[in-house]
Amino acid sequence: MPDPVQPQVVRSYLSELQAALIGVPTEVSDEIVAGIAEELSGLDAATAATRIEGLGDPMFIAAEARTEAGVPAAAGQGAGASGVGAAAGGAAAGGTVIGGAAGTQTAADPRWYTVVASLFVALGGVVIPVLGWIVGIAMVWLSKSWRTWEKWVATVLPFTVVLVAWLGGALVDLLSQGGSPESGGLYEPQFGNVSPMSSLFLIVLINVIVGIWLLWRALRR
Amino acid sequence: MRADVGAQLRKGVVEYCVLGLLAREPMYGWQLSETLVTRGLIASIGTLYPMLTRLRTQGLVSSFDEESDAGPVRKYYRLTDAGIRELAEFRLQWAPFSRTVDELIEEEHRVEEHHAKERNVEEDHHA
Repeated sequence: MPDPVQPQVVRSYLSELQAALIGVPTEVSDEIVAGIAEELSGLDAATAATRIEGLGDPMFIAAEARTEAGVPAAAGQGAGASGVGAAAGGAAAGGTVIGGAAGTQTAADPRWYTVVASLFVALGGVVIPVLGWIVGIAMVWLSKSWRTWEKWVATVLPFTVVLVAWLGGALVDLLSQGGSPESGGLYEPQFGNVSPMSSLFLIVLINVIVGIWLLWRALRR
Repeated sequence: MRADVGAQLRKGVVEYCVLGLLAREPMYGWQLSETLVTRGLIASIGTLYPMLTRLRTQGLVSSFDEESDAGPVRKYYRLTDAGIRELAEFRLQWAPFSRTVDELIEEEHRVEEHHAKERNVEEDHHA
């Protein structure tokens, strides 16, 4: 995610890089962006610009990554990817890789898979209670269309929101009991402000939002 | 074909060079990339990370985060026991392999030198 305190030159470069890395397996593209971001972190604009100049064009880096990861040039996008990728393509295809065929990795998933996975996350739990949602989340985790942090958000957000709602309810209970003269004894959390039905409704609502968000994240790449 | 020779050679050994560098000390991505780019073994950092991912998938390399005194938290890479074994195996094969290649190339070179000397002697004789 972009860091608001980064100089503009760094933010622009990382955005360009992220866009250029479309089609590269998510694990690899995440590592590239994270590795470069950590190196540019904390630098002033002038120093960062010098480092960026040494790094080279994002399209070139992406083309190299695509070639090395065994992703066909067509899986990427942008005119810059094809030339450099083609230049190094032969070497990648014929190169020696430790452990044999371990270098073969697939490109991003087909669009229908992305849509179906997002739909399962959004509505799977309503159609087939619990199981439908689990299928959706499993599809998301098996997919290359989303970054690891996006998968984590999709998985834990519904529970986190409900937990926060419960804790909020408990806090309200605590405060109201603490202020009443007849409370006297031990505090017993009621979670009274958030009923099980409300929690269920909240989870369904969050899942719908998460599903739409996942679809938007995947399709805008 | 001649233009591809360098690329093919680099491609064949660069992963072992990464293992060799990491055998000396744990290194972070940028550091590895700078070293390999400077030595002309890779073209950019874009080549490095797919390779590191592959090496990690194969269990030859592992990563860990470490906070530096002044800089950011960095992801360092180091060799696993399997990586150490893989490198040792490569070292065993590399030495005789490069010796053999040297001998064959040198042989050809000597033959050419010999022919050149003969031609020079003949030219001197005719002159």
